[in-house]
Amino acid sequence: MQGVRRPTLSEARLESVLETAPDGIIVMDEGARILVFNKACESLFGYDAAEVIGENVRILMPQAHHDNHDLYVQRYRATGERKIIGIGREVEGRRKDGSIFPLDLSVGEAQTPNGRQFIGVIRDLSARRDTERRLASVQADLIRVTRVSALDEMGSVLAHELNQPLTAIMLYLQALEREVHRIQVAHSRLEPRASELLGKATREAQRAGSIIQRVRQLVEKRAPERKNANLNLVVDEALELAMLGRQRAIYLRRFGPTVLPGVLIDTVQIQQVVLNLTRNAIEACQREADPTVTVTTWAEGDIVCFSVADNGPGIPAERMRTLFNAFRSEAGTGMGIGLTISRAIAQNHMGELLVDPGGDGKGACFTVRLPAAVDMASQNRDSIAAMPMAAAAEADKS
Amino acid sequence: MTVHIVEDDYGVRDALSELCRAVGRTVRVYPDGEAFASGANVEPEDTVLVDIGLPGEPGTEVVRRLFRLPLPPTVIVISGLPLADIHHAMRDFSDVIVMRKPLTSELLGLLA
Repeated sequence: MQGVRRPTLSEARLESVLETAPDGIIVMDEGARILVFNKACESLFGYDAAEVIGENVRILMPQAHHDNHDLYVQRYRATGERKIIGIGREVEGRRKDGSIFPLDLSVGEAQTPNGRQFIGVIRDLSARRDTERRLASVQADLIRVTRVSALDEMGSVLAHELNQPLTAIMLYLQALEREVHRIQVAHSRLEPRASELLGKATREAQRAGSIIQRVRQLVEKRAPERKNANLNLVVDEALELAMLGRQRAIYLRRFGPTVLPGVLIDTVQIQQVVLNLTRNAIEACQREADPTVTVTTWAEGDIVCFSVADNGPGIPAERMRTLFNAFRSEAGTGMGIGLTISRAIAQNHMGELLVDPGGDGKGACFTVRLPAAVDMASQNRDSIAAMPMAAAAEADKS
Repeated sequence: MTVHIVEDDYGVRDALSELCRAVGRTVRVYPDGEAFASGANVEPEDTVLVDIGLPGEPGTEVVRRLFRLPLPPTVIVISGLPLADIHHAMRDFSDVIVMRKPLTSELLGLLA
């Protein structure tokens, strides 16, 4: 008889809500028997509604929670003390095939002519968990490698920075030796003191050179692990990390072609560069009304590039002079060392790190250019035009 | 017989030019590849010293252009990068002399 009755308007509405809701919806009675099991639930748990309606809701939980659930319901009925109703929490669900998955459960309560009923809204958390797990592992990797490579990079940057003046000193000493020799010949007179002091100075310079040499050997022994990588993925992954746990909302714009030539890189090192440039960019624009960081990837012939731009005030000219001089910059913001290391990493990949300081209402823009992996360079030349790849993502506002 | 020095670090550039003058060579210096491209007049018997870690146009590009000349000069590439990396960057050019900083007296032999 029931089947012939036409549903009332509100029944029809409810039916349609249940059918189309993206979240799982379960209604149970006071005895924990399932009354409603919507479409989304069917795909979440793998049961047909017909299989579970009338069953105790326990069949959707891991064995370990079975007894507890009965207790929870009893306690609530006895005390009225709410542990989950109106609060919601993360619990585990059990699919028909026995597999367990994390879910977010919110429970509401309704007084009906047929007694008290409970409505559960379920959201599958396994995808989010996977992402969290993946991010955590990338982050752990990055921290582990960063710790080692920060030391390495410091060593390598220090060696490089010292190497330049030392190269100059050794060349000056050789020139001076020539000069002394020339004077001795011209005046047919020996200058034993000058030669002796020059010899001592040269030996000391060589000693400094061999120290640098040793530092470099130490660093270069751990040869970077280069592999052919997709710069888009490398950049995206680093951006996820950069946006993780941000306190204030930052508008992140990401542009790039879907296909890029491969690059032969140490992905962790390049992610360090992306992370570092992005953090700097966020720092630079956080006082703006609409802090925006724009990250773009593109290819120019056999060079693959990415840039990180902010809408901050730009870099003042006096700051530009010492921007990359980690060991000479006055401001101890840590930006110097990060940038020096970033540039060292780019250069070690036979690439470069360029700066457009901006100013006059324009933010700063840092660009990293890397050579495409040789065999891939000829591919995808026509996909240079930048196209929006992902819609703007907003960071947590928590 | 001019020595052209393309090096962005002032100290290294000046010291190189002092040493080259000390061995009797005529010297011209350029802080980057662009200055070299617009200002240099390179003869086949000249020597060009190029740092490959230049700002702006990379040193490899400077070298590439030199080897496009009908009679290229002697090209010496200097860099603080590991020798393997310098050789890798120079893999397209067989006639390049590669030296790592700090530069040894070997350089004098090449210049004298």
